[in-house]
Amino acid sequence: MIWLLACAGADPVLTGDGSLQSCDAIALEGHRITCRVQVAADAGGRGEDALARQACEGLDEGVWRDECHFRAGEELGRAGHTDRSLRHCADAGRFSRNCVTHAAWGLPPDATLRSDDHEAVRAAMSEFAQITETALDGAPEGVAPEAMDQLMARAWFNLYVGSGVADPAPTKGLPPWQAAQARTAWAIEAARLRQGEDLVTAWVEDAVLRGEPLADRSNVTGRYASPILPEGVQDHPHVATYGGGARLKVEDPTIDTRIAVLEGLYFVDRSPAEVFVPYLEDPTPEVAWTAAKLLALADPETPRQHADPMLQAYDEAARLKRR
Amino acid sequence: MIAWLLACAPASFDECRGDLAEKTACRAQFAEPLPSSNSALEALVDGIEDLEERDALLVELAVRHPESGARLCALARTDHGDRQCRQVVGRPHLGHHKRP
Repeated sequence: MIWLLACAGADPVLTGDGSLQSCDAIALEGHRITCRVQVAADAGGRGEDALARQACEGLDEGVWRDECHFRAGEELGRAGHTDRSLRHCADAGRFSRNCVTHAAWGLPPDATLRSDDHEAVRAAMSEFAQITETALDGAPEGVAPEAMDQLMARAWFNLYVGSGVADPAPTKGLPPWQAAQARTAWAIEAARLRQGEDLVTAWVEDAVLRGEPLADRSNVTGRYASPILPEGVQDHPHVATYGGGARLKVEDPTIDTRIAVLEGLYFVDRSPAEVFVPYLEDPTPEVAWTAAKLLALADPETPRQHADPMLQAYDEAARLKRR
Repeated sequence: MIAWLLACAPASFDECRGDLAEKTACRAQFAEPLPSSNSALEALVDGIEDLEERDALLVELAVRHPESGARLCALARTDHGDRQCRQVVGRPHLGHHKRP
């Protein structure tokens, strides 16, 4: 077939000018594909969902059409168009999960929303949950629950982290599937604002912690705990944290706050490794395992003795991950 | 007519003729299936003197075979080739994708 093209003559252009028409004028399939994917990504960055969709839907079904929706989805997400972003993610086939993760972590914070404005927080979170649920309708099987977990984790992270206000009230009375995400986010900001205080007591007593907000909340960085799931732990409930991580969660809100606080202290990278040591003896296994994980990640040299085999497994897995 | 068409048909990678797009499409056909060894792949593209043509082939193959994108794109020599290649190698999940 190729010699037919050779005899008939073909368009020598290998790259487009940013328009779909120019992509379609490219004679080579591979270059035509990357041109369309780039058009979709650029359109997504400008919030032009219709053009992005047109660019992707002109590709044959398969890995590159999935990639095209992924690129469009993550760019739309970064530009703050969550609903449109997630609709592309739902269409990204084998890359749906990757797309949601990128879209979630690219989600920009709403600088006007503060955790001590309880009514506004409740309305915003409820609306966000509704939008994401609707947008993910049609996503490949199993993607939507995981996506909701990550997206709500990000939404709560955006509300609290770097804001300068850590009011625990909005984390209470939430549906169970998003309460743990809210507590992790509150704990990070609480740890950032007040190191060394008993943060669990602050949570229980509804103490509002205040301090300096971060100058740039669009790019908050901290220590990201790798998702460590040694054998025997996978079946215990987890919740999404940041950068693809996960933490253990328990039903009791106060005990779960202990886990959240440990994760928060780890994220705020000024916390010394020793803060985790006392929790190794916590009567709740999930708290002790979390302490072992974070201690091993923060400083594998800190000496400790573990009799609990699960604690040893957690510790060992964290050490391996850290290397 | 048939004879004319057949006369046009190149019999090997080195016989590919035409403009940049034509030559690249033709070479891509002869390059497949991709050599399994990196040295054989390198020898194949080293035979193309024009760097623009060389990189056009590498990009075309990388898009068709994203799982081999890293070794193909490592051979790119031009800025344009590098930029195009980033759409494949800059996206690690594409490399994990298995062809059906």
